[in-house]
Amino acid sequence: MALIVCLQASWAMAGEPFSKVSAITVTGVNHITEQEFLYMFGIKVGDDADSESIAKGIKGAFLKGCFVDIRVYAEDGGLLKIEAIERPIIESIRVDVSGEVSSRKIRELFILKEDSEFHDALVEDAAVKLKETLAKKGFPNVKIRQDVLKGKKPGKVIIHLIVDEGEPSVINHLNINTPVAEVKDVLQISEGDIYDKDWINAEIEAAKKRMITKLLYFNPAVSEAVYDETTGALTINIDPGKKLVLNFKGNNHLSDKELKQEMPFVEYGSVNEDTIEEAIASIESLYHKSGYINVLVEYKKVENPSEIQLAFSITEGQEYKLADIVFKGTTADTVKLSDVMESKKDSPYNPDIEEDEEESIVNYLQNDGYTTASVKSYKPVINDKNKTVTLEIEIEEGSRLIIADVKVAGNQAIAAEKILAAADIKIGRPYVETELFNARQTALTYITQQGYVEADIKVERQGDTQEITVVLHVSEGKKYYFGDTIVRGNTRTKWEVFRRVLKHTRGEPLNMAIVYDEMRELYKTMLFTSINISTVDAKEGEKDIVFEVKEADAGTVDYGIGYSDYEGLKGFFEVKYINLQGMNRQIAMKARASQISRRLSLAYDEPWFLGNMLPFNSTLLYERKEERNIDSGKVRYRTEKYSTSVSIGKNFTEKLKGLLSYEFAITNTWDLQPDVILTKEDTGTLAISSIVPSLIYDGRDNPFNPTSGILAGTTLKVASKVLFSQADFAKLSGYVNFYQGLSKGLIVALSLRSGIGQGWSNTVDMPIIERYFLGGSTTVRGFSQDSLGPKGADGDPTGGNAYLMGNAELRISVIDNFGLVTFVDTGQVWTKLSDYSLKGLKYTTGIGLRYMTAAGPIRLDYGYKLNRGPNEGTGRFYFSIGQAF
Amino acid sequence: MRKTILLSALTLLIFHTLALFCGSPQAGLIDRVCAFVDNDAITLGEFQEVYTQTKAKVPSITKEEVLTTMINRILLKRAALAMKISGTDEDQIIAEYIDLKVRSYVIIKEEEIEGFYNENKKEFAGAGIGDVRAETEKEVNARLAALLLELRKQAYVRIQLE
Repeated sequence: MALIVCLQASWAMAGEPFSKVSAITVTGVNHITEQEFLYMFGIKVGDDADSESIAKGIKGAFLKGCFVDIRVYAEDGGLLKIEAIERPIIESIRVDVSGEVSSRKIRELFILKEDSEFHDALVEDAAVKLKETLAKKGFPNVKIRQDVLKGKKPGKVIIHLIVDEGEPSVINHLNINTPVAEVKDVLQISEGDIYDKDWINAEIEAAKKRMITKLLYFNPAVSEAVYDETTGALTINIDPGKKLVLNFKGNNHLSDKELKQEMPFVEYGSVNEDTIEEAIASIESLYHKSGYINVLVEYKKVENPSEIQLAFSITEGQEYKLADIVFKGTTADTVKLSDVMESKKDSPYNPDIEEDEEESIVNYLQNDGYTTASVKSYKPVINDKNKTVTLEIEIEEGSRLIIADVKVAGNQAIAAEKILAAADIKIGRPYVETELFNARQTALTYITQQGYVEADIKVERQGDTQEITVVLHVSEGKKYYFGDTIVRGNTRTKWEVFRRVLKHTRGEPLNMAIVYDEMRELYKTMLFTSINISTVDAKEGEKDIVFEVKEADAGTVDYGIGYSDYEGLKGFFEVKYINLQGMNRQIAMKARASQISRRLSLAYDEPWFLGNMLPFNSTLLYERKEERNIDSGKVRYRTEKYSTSVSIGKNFTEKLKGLLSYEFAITNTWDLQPDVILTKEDTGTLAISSIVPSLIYDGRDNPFNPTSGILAGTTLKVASKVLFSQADFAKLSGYVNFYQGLSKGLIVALSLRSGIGQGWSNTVDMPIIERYFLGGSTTVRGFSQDSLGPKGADGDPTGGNAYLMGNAELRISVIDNFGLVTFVDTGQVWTKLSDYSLKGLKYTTGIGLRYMTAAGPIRLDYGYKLNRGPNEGTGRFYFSIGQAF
Repeated sequence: MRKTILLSALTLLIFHTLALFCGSPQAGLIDRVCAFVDNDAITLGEFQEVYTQTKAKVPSITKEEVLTTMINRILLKRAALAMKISGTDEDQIIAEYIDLKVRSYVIIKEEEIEGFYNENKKEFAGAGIGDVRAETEKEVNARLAALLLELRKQAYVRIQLE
C-alpha cells in the first residue's frame, strides 16, 4: 500500500512535470479510433505530463461530445492508463405502430434520430413530445411505450417504440359557413379527414392566400376551426370580404397584363388611399421608364357590399428621348462620367432616376480622389418640339486628394514594412476611401494570419491640403496559437479522413485562413452537407478548433434518359457509395445503354493510395457497340470489349494533374465491311495490353460551361508484346481548349486537337478500334459521325493513324437560359502521318441553339460544309447535351 | 533475534500478500470528469482546487454548492458568448450577460426607488426603503434562478461526484 501511495504522490503534484510518459493505454473507446482520441487528448509517448496537461487533455477530448467520463490513471514507469466511458449512440429506432400513421411518419415526428446521442431523460422527453404531436394530429388517445435495447455494437442502443394510435378524431360533418359559393372550394378539407389541428390551421392560412391571389378578395376573415368531439363536426366561418375588379383605359404603350403585374393590392391585401397612390406611382414609373414623362393617371373607385371596382384612366402623352448630357464644372473625363450613368443618349429619358444618377456621378468622382465632390444641379431641359430632353449637370468637384505618404503606428510584434507590404497602398494614387478600406482589410488579414486574431486597424487621414498622409493605427491584441482540433458529428467518417486534410498543428500561430482551406478540402470529399467551424478557449493563449460536421448520405442512385442524333434514345443508371469503411473510398456501378451500345462498369476509387494523396482507380468494364452509317443505317462493324484498368493520379498543382494507367482489354470485332479492313488485327478477337501516361491542365472556371481559362492535355498509349499485347503500337494525342469572355454574355471558345499513331513489329496500322475518326457533333460538324477521312472501295470510312482538328465558336447568351452559337470547324484524318497535308483539311461552318440546364447546355447545331467533295451532302443537324468542347 | 526475524518475515509476507491482492502494479487516479455541461467537462482536479479555495473563504459551503456554481458559470458564459458578449475575462463576460438578461429588467435608479417609496408610503405599511431595496435584490435573484433553470433545461448536465 505504501508503494501505491508513493506512486500516486509522484503523479498528483499539480502543475509539476512528471517523468516522461513511457506508454499510454486507452480503453472504452468504440465510437472513434484510439488515434483520434489520442490526437484530441494531446499527450503522446515521450511528453512530459502533469496534472494540468492531463486535465487539459480530458477537457479537449471531451469536446468531441461522445463521452460521459474520461479517467486517467498513472502507473509506475510513466504509464498512463485512460479509461473512457462513452455516451451511447442510437443505433436504430424500431417502430411498431397499430393504426393509420406509418412507421416512417412516426420516425419523422420522433425528435431523436439514428446515430444521435442517447440518454434516458432525452428518450422520455422525446416520447412525451411524440404523444403531444400525435394528439394534435388527430390521435388524442394515443399510447406510446418506449423500450431501450442493447445495440449490436458496443456503446450503441436500439430504441423500440410501440405506438397504439387509439381511436382518431375524424371530421364526420364539415360546416363551411360563407355567403359566397366560390369561396367554399378554396378550403381543401373534406369529410372523412382526420382532425389534424396543425394541418387544418395551415390549410386555413393557405385558403386565405388563395382567396387574395386567385379570387382577388381582400381582407378575408376565416374563423378558427371548431371541432365537436362528440359529433365529429368541424365548423369554419369564412367572410371573404370584397372582390376587386380592375380596369384600365387609355393605355396603348403598355398592356393591361403588364399594368396588373405592377399592382400592389395583392401584396398588401387591401385597397385604400395609400395602396391606390402606390399603384398610380407604379404605373407612372413604368411609363417614365419608356420616356413618357408627361403621363397622367387618374382613378375612380366604386364600392358596393361585394365588390370594389377600380378604374384607372391613363393619358400617356408623348415619348421623350435623351438628346445629350452636358457636364459643367468638372475636369473629369465626361465620356467616362456618361458611362457610369443609366441614362443613355438617344434612349428614352427617365425622370425618376435623378437621385441614382447623382449618386453614380459622385461615386465615380470620389473614386478618383475628389472626396468632397457633389452634384450642384441636375437640370433636364425639355424640348417639346423635338420631344427630346438635354440633361445639364453641374458638378462641384472640390480638391483632389493624393496620397503622399503612408505610415504605420501602434504595431509591436509585426514589422511596419510587412504591414505596409500587405496593405499595398500606392504613393501618388488618389485618396479613395473604398481602396483604403480594401487595403485595411488586406493588412488586417495578414496580421490575423500571424495569430493576432483580435487585431484591429484604424485608418487616419492626416493633412487637409491636396497631399495627405495615411496612417494605419494598428492594435495587435493578444497572440493566439492553435490548440486541439476536435471533429464532432462524424459517425461514419473515420478520423483518418480529417487528419489527412488538417494542415495546421498544435502550437502554430492561429490562422483561420488555414482552417477555412481545410474546410474547403473537406467539402471536396462530398461526404458532408455542412461544416461549421468554431473556436474554444483552451489554455492560456491557445484556441481549440472545433469542426461540427453533418454527414451526407454516402449512397446515391442516379439515373437519366436522353437523346442524341447518332446514338438515338439513351439512358444510364448508377449506384454509388462514397464512404466505404468511413475512408472516403468509393465504389460505383454504372450501366449505360443506347440504341447502338451497351456499357456496364464497376469502379473503385481510393483518394489516398497507400496513405498518400494519390487518387487510385480500378475499373472493370463491359462494352458492346455498333458503328453505323447514320444516313443509311448500315452497320460498319460491331465490337464487344471486356477490359480492366488501374490508374494512379498525382495532383502536381491545383490545376495540373498527371495520371498513369494500365489497361488490359479483350475486344472482339465482327461484321466489318470488307473495304474498311486495313490490317489483320481489325477483325476477330484481339488482346491489347497498354500503359497510358497522361497529363491534364484544367484552368477553366466552370467545367460544364466554361467562360474563361484553358483546358489542355496529352496522352500516350503504348501497347506491346512485352506487356502480353497481341498488337504493338503507340499513339500520342493532345488537345488545347481556350475560353475567353469578350463582354457580358459573349464568349469565344477555341480548340485544337491532334493525334498520331504508329505500329511496329508485325503491326503496321493500328487496329480499327484504336484508329482515329472524325465527323460528328463534337468534332467536325457538318459531317456525319466518323465519316471524315480516308474511305474504302465502297465508300466506308476506314479511320486513320493521324488526325488534326480545330474548332472556333462564338457563344452568345441571348435571354434567360437561351443562347446562340456560331462556329467554324476544320479537320482531317490521314491513313499515315506521311500523308499529312494542310491542303486536305475540310472546313465547315454553322449555327446552333443552346438551352442551359444544371447538367450542361442542351444543344441543337447545324453544320454546313464549306469545301465539300462531289456527291457529298451540304450539311446536317445535331442534337445532344453538353458543349461541343 | 529469532523473534525479530520471524516478525520481519511475517511483515514481508503480509506486505506481499496485500500487494498480490491489490494487483501489481496498482494504478492511481490522476483526474477524471466529475461533471459536464454538454461537451464542456469539469475535471475532478479543477473542482477540488475551486472547492479548497471557496471553503477557505466560506467554511459552510458544500461540495454540491461549489459544483453547481461551476456548472452555472459554464451555462452563463456559453449563453453570453452566443450573444457575442465580449469582455476581458470570464467574470466580466458573465456579469455583462446578467446585467443584460436580468438586472436590466429589475434595477431601478436610486432616486426612482426613493420617489416611488415616498409617493406610496402608505402601501408599504411601515416597511423602510431598505426593505424595498432588498425586495429588488430578491427579484434579481429570482429572475437569475429562472434563467439558469431555463439554460439548464436546454443543456445536458450531469454531476458524477461520487
